[in-house]
Amino acid sequence: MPDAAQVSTATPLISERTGWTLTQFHAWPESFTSAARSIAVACGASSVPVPGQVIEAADGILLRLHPQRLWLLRYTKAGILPDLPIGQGVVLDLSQSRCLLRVAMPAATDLIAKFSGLDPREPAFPVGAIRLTSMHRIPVTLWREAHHLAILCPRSFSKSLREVLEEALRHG
Amino acid sequence: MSTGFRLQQGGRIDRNSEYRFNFDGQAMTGHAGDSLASALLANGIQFVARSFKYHRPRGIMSAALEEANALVTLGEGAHSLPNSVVTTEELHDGLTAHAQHCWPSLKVDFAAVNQVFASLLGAGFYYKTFMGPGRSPKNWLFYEHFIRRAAGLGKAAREPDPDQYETVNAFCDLLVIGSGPAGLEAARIAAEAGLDVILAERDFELGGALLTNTGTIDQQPAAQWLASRLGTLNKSANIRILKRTTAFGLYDGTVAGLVERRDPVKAATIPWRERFWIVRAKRIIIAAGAMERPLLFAGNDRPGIMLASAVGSYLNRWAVAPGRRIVLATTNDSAYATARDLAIAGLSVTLIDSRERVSETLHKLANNTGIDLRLGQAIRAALGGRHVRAVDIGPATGQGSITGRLACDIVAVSGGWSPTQHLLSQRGVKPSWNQTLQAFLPGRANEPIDCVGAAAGIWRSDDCARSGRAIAAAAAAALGRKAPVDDIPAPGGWETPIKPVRLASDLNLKKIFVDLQHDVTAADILQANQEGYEAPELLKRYTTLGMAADQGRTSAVPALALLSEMASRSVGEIGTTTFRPPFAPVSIGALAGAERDKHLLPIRRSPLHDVIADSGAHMLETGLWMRPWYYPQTGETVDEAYLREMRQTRDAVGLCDVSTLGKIAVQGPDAGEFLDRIYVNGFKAMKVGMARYGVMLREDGIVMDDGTSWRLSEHEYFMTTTTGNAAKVMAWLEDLLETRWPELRVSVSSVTDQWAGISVAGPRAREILPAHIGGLDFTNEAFPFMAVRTGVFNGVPCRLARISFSGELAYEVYIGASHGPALWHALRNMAKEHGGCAYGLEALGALRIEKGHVGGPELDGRTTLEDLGLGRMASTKKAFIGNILRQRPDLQRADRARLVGLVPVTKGETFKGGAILAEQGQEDGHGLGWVTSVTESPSLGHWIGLGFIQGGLDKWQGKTILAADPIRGRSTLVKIVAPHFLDPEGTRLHA
Repeated sequence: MPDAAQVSTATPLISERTGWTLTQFHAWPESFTSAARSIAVACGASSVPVPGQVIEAADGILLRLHPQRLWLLRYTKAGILPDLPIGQGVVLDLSQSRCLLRVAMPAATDLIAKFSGLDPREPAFPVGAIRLTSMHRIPVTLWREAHHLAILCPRSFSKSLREVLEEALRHG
Repeated sequence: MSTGFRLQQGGRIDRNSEYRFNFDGQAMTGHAGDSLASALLANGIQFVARSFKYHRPRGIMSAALEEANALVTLGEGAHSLPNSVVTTEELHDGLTAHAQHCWPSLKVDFAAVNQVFASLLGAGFYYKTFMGPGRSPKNWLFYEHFIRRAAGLGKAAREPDPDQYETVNAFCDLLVIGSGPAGLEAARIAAEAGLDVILAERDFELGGALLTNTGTIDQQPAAQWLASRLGTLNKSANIRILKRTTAFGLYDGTVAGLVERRDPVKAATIPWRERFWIVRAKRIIIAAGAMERPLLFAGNDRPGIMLASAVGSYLNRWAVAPGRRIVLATTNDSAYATARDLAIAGLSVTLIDSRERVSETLHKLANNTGIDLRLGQAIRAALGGRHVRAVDIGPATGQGSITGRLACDIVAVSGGWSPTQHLLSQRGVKPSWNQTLQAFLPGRANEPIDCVGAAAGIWRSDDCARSGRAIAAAAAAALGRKAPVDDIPAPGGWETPIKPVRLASDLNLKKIFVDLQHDVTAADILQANQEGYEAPELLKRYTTLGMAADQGRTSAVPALALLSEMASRSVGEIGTTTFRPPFAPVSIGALAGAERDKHLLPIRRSPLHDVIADSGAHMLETGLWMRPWYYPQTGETVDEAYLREMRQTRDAVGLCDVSTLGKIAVQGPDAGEFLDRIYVNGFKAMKVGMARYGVMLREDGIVMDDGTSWRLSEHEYFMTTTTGNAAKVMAWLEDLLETRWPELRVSVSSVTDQWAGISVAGPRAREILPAHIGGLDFTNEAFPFMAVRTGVFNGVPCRLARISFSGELAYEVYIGASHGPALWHALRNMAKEHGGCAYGLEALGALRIEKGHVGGPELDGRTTLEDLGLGRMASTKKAFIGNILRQRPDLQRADRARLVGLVPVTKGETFKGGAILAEQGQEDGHGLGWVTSVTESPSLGHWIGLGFIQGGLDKWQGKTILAADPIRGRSTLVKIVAPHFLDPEGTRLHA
């Protein structure tokens, strides 16, 4: 699981990761299996993730929350993106729509407990799991890395979310 | 024996510590481990409060949460907390407390005069006196003011709460509520079976009844057993122990609400005062014990009359003897242990047992410890003023006269025990009345919630522990774990059955207090019963019994017993009320948690927020968004600024941040068909590279939202919505695709945050854009009105559409969010060079009013296409949502309120949004319409407005009407005109 590099540390516990791209692949129900397989192959993932799962890809990760959608988060802007013919689905660039925050464990577990109704215990939310939830009423996508929690947050809310998380971390 | 009220030895207090505290201005000391109540009693303070209605003197009557009397205000100023229960408050150094609900002082309370009028203030007094036939609402409104001043317990601080609070979500396999012998064993067995356990205890010490138990459990001294179990639990990695934590509510899905109080000694290091825990447990075990009930006799509310178990707690846990001569009255076996402990401590004990016979064991206990045991007797009345000084006793049968008077300084009473099953009751589980135990026992829940120990009506400590083990083992098995199986003991455990007490016929019912906190007497209950309020729910509402902060913990069963006696029905037949959350008072601060002040709601910031705010714009909260309101130049007011911004935009060019508009990517082979179904007008046939204004309706035919949709390619549209409706529209589109039209191959995705949006409006817009956006021909021919093009800024692609909300030649430019600030900066500098400026929300709203565009005030959830003058947009060639119901006759009525323009008859006059449009002389009614939006128009030189009036322009054009504004005390004659004030031909935007 990617868990290092390219991290601009703002505080020891919470940081924002930049320089990544996010691409959404939405496949039609009848073609999802084949479309998803070709996307996984193209981006170097070992398999197609099931809903709620993150799979490591060649230069990023392949995420799946929605039954018909895959998100490819790449930590580099280089390389050619997989494409989908309109008969199979559509592709959408969401790279500018989110901010990616990373919070060190175990502080991240406390933050989840304070701001989300998600069960943060390891068996319920292991490394490789991805969840859509809300923190401080903000819709966020979370996944667990080996030593961090990744939070994909709508860009317009990111400053507000970061402020409230950092304040909570300061208070312990 | 002791000197003073504190015994020289014993208890669980730390005598090496000394805490200074203050009650009602009186400085005192106590020890670590004391509660405020134990410290007060140790200092000889028993009288601490006044009762609710009659302001009678009241003392400490319990040692725990069931306390009905001793409510005080803790702390000072903004930190003060009314209605704090002295028995649950942990003593700490510097604690201050004040008596409440008395004036001018606790000892001299003028409102005690109410006792003189007690006979007039019985049940139903308010209803009968102030309401009902012949009493107008005005009477009640007059009296209400005085009644409210007199009512209520304690006063909340007027200042904002300076304390911090937190919310914590927690998950576990098993939540155990209570840490007596049953709770401790349940937690231990579950943890040993591998379950993830949370153990919540209201007290600041674990142990429950074991903290005061001087007997044995599992053949060990109770204290030794407790220490052993605590040692085991503290070492367990599977148990999270929450002390000072009250479980106040159980909700659907085995979700529990808990409030944890901060350890007062650690106040300097723990930032929060209270924490609200939302616990999602797979199973719940309620081990909350039982509550002792008081006895009913005349004067049973006097200070010095306490629950027997409380007297035992003060003696054994806190080494406090609240008196020297103690009369202990009981109906059951439980009080004998307390009597024994009191006698061993050297106190004089007279034990009055209403039963004719007790077991040999209890006889021996009394004989061996020098207790004066009197069987078959009951207290008839307590005598005294601010403290009890004697009791009159008589036969427990209720027949016959008073047989003696006993001098005393403490009366300890035990009228039986009620299992604490409020939490289970909150889940709708009905308890059943056990005549033998004289108690309501918990019913069986359909959810994975169990009661154990005394909460299940099991009285013996050994059996309580065993029930905890047995139920925990069953819970572990249900969750797929193994634990040693044990039998569940049967409820009960006394050698001699409890005896229900009957009221003596010669007692003064008005002096028998059933609900001590709300001053509900036996006479009130009799009266309610006689007036037909026989059901407990009706009795509760008529008399207010059980409605105060203590929620009738000690009064419910005695009241039902009385009702049973009066109605000649069993308690089981009468039933009991349903308890609702919260079980104990919860501060609003705890429920709000950290979501207050600046964190009340999250703030949304546009990609341009920082560059705009840094430029000196005044920002405004609009929903969750922070948006620029206006951009003042030196010394400008908001009015001066927005009018200047409008002039500059109309004369040159203006820039506006439109990033907050909702933006939705609509993709797929059926995207055009989908838009045709949701918009009133057609989009499927629109050419690639063009945009169109669209309106969507709700299913009931009312306008939901409007915006533009751009056709980017054969299979992709870029939809914009209003800022306020963005989330609603997105949810609506997803709902339609997932439930209504799953066959459509369409993907909708919110891209609101993906793009920064800038509107460039004004006659010189065409001059500034080419300087920074390359790859485009901006001529009218190459880039006509409603065309969509792709340009390049600093090598970054951007989308442009020639769209106007202001009525000017205008373009909306969208670029990736991170590039927005650079584009804004470049365009703003260029605009300045051309005599333009940035404009904010105020100017944005004013510009659209001049043009006659509808906005939020007009799209208010009541208006139709026709009301807005947009009826001709509706396609007659396709079906769309809302088309059928918008044709309902009532929505097509010609006299519906329709959109019109408004100008003052006298040009210099102003009028306001919200004013009623009414004919002169009829301003007091509902009027014929209303004003929605107004602004001063620098282009026209006077105020203008939009509004709705019955019949619309067809009926009213050129006529005058009054814009009546009674709330603000202003009325203005206005003329009805077309809503398009400026450039109705569209010359400017097509330029």
